[in-house]
Amino acid sequence: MVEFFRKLDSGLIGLLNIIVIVTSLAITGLILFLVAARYFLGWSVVGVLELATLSAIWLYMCGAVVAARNHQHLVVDFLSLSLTNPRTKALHTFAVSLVMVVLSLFFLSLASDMVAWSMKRPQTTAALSIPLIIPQSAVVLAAIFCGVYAVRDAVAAGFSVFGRASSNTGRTDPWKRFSAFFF
Amino acid sequence: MEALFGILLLMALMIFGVPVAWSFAGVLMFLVWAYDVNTATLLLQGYRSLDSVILLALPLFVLAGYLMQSGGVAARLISFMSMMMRGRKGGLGAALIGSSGVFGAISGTATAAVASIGTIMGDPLAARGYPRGYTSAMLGVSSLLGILIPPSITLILFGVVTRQSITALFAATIVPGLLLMVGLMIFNKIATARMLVDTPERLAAIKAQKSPHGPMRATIQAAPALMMPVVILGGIYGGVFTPTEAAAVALFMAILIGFFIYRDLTLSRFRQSLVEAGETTGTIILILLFSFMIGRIMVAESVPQELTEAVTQVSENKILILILVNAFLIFVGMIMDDLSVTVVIAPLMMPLMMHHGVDPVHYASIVACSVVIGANSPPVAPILYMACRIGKVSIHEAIKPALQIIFYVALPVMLMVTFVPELSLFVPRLLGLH
Repeated sequence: MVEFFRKLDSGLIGLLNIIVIVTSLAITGLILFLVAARYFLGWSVVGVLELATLSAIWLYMCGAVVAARNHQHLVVDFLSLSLTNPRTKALHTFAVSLVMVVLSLFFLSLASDMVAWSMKRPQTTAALSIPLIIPQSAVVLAAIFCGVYAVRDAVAAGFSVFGRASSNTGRTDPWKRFSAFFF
Repeated sequence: MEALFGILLLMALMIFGVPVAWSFAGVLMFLVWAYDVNTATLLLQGYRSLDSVILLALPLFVLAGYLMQSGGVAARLISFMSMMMRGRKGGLGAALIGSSGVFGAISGTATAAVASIGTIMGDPLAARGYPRGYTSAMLGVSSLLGILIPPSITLILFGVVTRQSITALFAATIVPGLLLMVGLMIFNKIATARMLVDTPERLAAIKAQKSPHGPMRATIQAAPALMMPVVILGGIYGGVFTPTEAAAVALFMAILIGFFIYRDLTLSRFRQSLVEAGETTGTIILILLFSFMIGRIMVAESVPQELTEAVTQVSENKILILILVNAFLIFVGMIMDDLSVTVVIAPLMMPLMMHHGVDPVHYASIVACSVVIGANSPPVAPILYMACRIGKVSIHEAIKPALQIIFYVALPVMLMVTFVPELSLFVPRLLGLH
């Protein structure tokens, strides 16, 4: 089961990395094309900025998920650095991760409200008539996966607090601890 | 009252260690509950604010910063600056400040400057007798020149949130940025005159670090890197391209220089930079998404107007209010990160400032100066902590020099910027942007 989660995770992160790379290059290329078309060809190309912002939304949201997965979100670590007792530190991590699970669920509920509204009143972009649900689905994806990683971290942190200290289920790999908890 | 509790909750969540983006989500959840907000279109409104062409400059400048780091631009700039300042006591310290200034004129972030300049210059400065605590403190403050000298990601975010012209904001902080740079150089000159003693080890380090190729080679090597700020700023203020387009051009130049001129950029480094820049952008954007929604609720509930009325009831004295706002921004900056100050706290006080005749562009300069102080002031001090990690020194050794630099340089610059509006408004007016 650990292997299954790990493979799922590495497949997902590989896919997200590809989206991040492709969208970054797409935004750069599209904006450069816009500048070049204006100055060298005298063209005013319609819809390029729409494509660039659409790519940007996917970049923003996939970047946010990658950061959540790698624990790269900006943290004020003043308190955690001042805690020296390992048990207190583990309890603190667990408490923070529980707060994050609650907040991720809140984000998810906002996302579901957005989807419901967009289904009721479908909208498209002005120039290229691209359905807005395409960029909006990136936000939904971010809400889902931020939630998944928050649950993973909470379970892993919970296991560090309540699990056996000498457990051979692994103390550093969150997926190992997650799997050991549930299966 | 609910808004005040929201700000206190934000501080509490951050200090507790909840990631900044999720601390914002916590405040949003509280405000939704407290004001009984209909959430049917709340995220949709946040999404619409993200769907912005101006905001496209953010990922592009972030990525340009990463590519300059991995493409060898920073190394050439430092080599050039060191050569320019050679032969003077404290010259390498001045080179650190100058490099931060030029790097800021290309990348617009403080973290990229800390990481690249700190990694390259930390050990040579230590070998020349600079205490590591002093180096980290100086690096922490001077890296924030990137926030003042355009292009600046902080100002892009402030401009997007408050709907101000990014070009005018960029122009407004040029003079404050130069003032801070000169102030830091003077401080470094005075401090190093007392601090550096010509021990045999220091003299040996100076001799060993002399470049065999001389100033001409360093200048030629740095020329492509030095061209970048000329193209970016010249392009923006020459009316050739918008800040977003300038960011794409900067990125394109960083790729060309890294791959074909310096040849330090490999495909794997390029890929790594793209992913890391995506992560950084995602982190900032999630904060921005929640802050947009918080801003919507606060505006709908007339919180900025209530704040203006409450403060105006206490005093109508503009000078007193400016001092209070300065003190509040510094205090908030001490316990929150710079992004939170820029996208939530500062916009809240915008109506108050406008009520007292402070120009929004001038106010942006004040906010940027407060970020310089807040990002280096304990207990949170994110940039100072990062500079200490890279400088291999304990934060305790850097706090005293950091506070000295803030007290003697950054704070006077902030006060000058606050009480002499022309320092911020002169360049935008000169360029016809304001």
